[in-house]
Amino acid sequence: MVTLRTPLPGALLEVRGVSKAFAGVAALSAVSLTLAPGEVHALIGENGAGKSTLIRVLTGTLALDAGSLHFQGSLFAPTSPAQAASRGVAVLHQEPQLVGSVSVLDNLFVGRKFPAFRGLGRWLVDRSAMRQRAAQGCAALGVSLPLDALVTGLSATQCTQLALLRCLMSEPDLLVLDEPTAALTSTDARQLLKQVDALRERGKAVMYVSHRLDEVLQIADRITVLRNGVVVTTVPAREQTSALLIAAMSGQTEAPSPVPIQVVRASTKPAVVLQIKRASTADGKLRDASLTLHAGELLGLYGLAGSGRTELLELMVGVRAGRTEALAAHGQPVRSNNPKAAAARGWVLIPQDRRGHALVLNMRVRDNLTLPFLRRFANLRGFGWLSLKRERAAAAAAMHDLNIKATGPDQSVLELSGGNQQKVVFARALAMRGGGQIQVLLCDEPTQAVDVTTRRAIHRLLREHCAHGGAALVVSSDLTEMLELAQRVVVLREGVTVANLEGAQLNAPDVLRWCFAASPVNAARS
Amino acid sequence: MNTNAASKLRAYFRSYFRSYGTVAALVLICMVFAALSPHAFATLGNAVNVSRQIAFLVLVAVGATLVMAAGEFDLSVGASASLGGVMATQLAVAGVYLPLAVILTLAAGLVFGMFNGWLVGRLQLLSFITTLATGTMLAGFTFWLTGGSTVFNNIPDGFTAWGRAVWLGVPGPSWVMVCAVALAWVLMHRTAFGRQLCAVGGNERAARLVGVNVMRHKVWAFGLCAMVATAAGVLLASRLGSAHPTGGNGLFLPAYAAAFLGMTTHRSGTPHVLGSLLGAATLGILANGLTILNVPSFLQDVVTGAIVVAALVFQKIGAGSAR
Repeated sequence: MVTLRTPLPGALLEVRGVSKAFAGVAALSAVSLTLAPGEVHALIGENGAGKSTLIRVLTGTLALDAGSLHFQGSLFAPTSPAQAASRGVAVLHQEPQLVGSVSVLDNLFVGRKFPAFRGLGRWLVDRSAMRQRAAQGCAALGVSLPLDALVTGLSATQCTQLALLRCLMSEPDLLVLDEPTAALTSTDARQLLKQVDALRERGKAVMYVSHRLDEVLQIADRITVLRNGVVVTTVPAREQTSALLIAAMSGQTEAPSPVPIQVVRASTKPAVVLQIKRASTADGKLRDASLTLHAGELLGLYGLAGSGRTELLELMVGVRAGRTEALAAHGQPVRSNNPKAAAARGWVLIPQDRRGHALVLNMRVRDNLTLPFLRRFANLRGFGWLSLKRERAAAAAAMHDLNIKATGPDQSVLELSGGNQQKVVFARALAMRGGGQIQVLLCDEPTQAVDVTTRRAIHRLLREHCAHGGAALVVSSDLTEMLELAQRVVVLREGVTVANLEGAQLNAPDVLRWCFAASPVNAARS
Repeated sequence: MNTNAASKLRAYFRSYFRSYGTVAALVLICMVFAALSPHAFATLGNAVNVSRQIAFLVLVAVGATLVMAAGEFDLSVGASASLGGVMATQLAVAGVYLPLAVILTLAAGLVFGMFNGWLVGRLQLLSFITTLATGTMLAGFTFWLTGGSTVFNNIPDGFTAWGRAVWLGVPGPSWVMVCAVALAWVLMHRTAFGRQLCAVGGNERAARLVGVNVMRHKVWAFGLCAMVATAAGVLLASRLGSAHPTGGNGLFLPAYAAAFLGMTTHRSGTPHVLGSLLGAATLGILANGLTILNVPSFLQDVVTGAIVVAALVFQKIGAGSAR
């Protein structure tokens, strides 16, 4: 093999033999890849494959152990994101890094030079120039953003667009997109792909990191597959299928066939475990939402971003205030609603933001697993000291059941990969079951930003849960996932449940039609 | 068998004191003092002396640790301690049966703290500002109780017995300290309440979502914190045989310094009881050694503050290299 001493001709970025290890564990080993101007280069791999590490190397937040980077024909060794940006490398992070308490306009300029007046006024910010440049940026990207709104009031889509616009304001030559569509619905995702396409036309290079293989296949020119910090292959996208990519990512020779859906067909009509009628919230995010969930059912709740999906789930478990005409569990009306009461009737929310809302990150895996039912391990009727032996055993059993990869129950949950963290949340929810109650899992984007293997494991888990008499309500922005998983789908549009689709009606065009229909139709409410 | 127990102990120690900076600093400080004044510092008598000197500080620090575990601050601990001394001595002077006087005082502290906890947990006020305000109110109230003067006349001998007692060679305040630390450790690290309290401090939203009653935990944390601080005040008054309405104020900042020093010893940088004890011991030994070496007290403050800053800096550096 010839070792190249000079940068490849035509390459904008060349990653040459880059290695990085954390505490002896290799996160990247001898990774090499190139990006040409006007190329969209996808980077895929399971969680922990080394994608994030590579991005951090590119932004200068991580020092290399070995290897080098070359950008625009010269050595590139940034020591900070600001330095990387000044050389022309911009990164759109998975969770857009925005300042919530200031306006959209200010966010566009934070961290870079604010336009100023000339002469004596050079210490003063020229807000009309800011506005003008922001408007130009919006026009170039084809988006409209409320420039004076606070970021806290923006939808997930608007946040992503703002972050993208912020990246493009510095006219980067290389744009790194880390899971840019994770928080977007498929329509918004499609618009983002168009924007990426436009960037390619303008000769920019884009490194596109995503778990959504259909997007990758659609947008990328070449695809690099990482596994355990090693480049498995770099291939032209047009020769690929998702089955081939999954095989490359997981290291299995062929993709396993999908698990058949097991449907419990009881002779009697299954019991209603959750019923909510005409739910609304004061802020108008929910206006008129109703649905019914039966035992053994895997119900999908689909809607565009901002349609009130999360709000509906939060209302069910009492972490969000709102009004309902009726809320009933197992046929009994719910009187007081808070997460504790919800858990007592078997309803558990698995929130979308697992790091912010589900896990206590500075605690151990076992602390997180047993938190809701710690008193089970306490002596003196739940008020005495804890039996750590019993607690560890219970945690280890739960970890084993879900195949959670960790050094043990005492590992810090922060050190786990995203997929394993999500499994911890699921394991905890399942372990909360007790008292013969049918358990209802309310899952908000359960497979968001988890690797393919975990995603499959979570699908299997949900199916098994329902096959064994439990029930689940699943919100997902991924329509393919929804159709694959749910037996019935309720469509939410602008806070109103507009459709209840099952059987032959349950197909992508119909679901999308209900999402986009011009006026709310009082459709079948179950 | 023995080696198994030793390795278990070592594993426990390692899990709690992942970063040894503060422990090493404590050992180093002891060695320096021992070298400089072997006949005054490195004696058993002085060790006993230090344990009595830090007892009051440890009590307040342990209480503060409970509140910090819940992710909040209680800036009124100094005022609570002052109240404890004044109220207990005044009740004792008035002839109230002594155990009852102490219980009433502790109950007052508990109620005051639970009120703080209610304001913070229920009404979601910022604990920093809230306890600053309620602490100011309490300090004013304590002043009003004594008219601003020190309580020292007619205090019954029984009241000062505990503070001055020596039991099996160990002073009374040290016994109280040991018991309080043991109880607090069990409560915070070995009961469901304590674990849930730490979860509230770690991620309040997640704790609430799995059914932890956040408000109740905060109310109890603040209540116990103020009660322990009041107890420190009672003990201090018992030791001194007098109570001044600002007598406990001096405990407030060192107590938080001790708790923060303790956090630096923990692997995830969270508050924990043994860490706070270690922090208080570091501060106490430092003050004791510097006094023996005739260092003026204002310079002692400079050194103490510098040690705390150094511990925080070292922890930051350590955390940086670990990432």
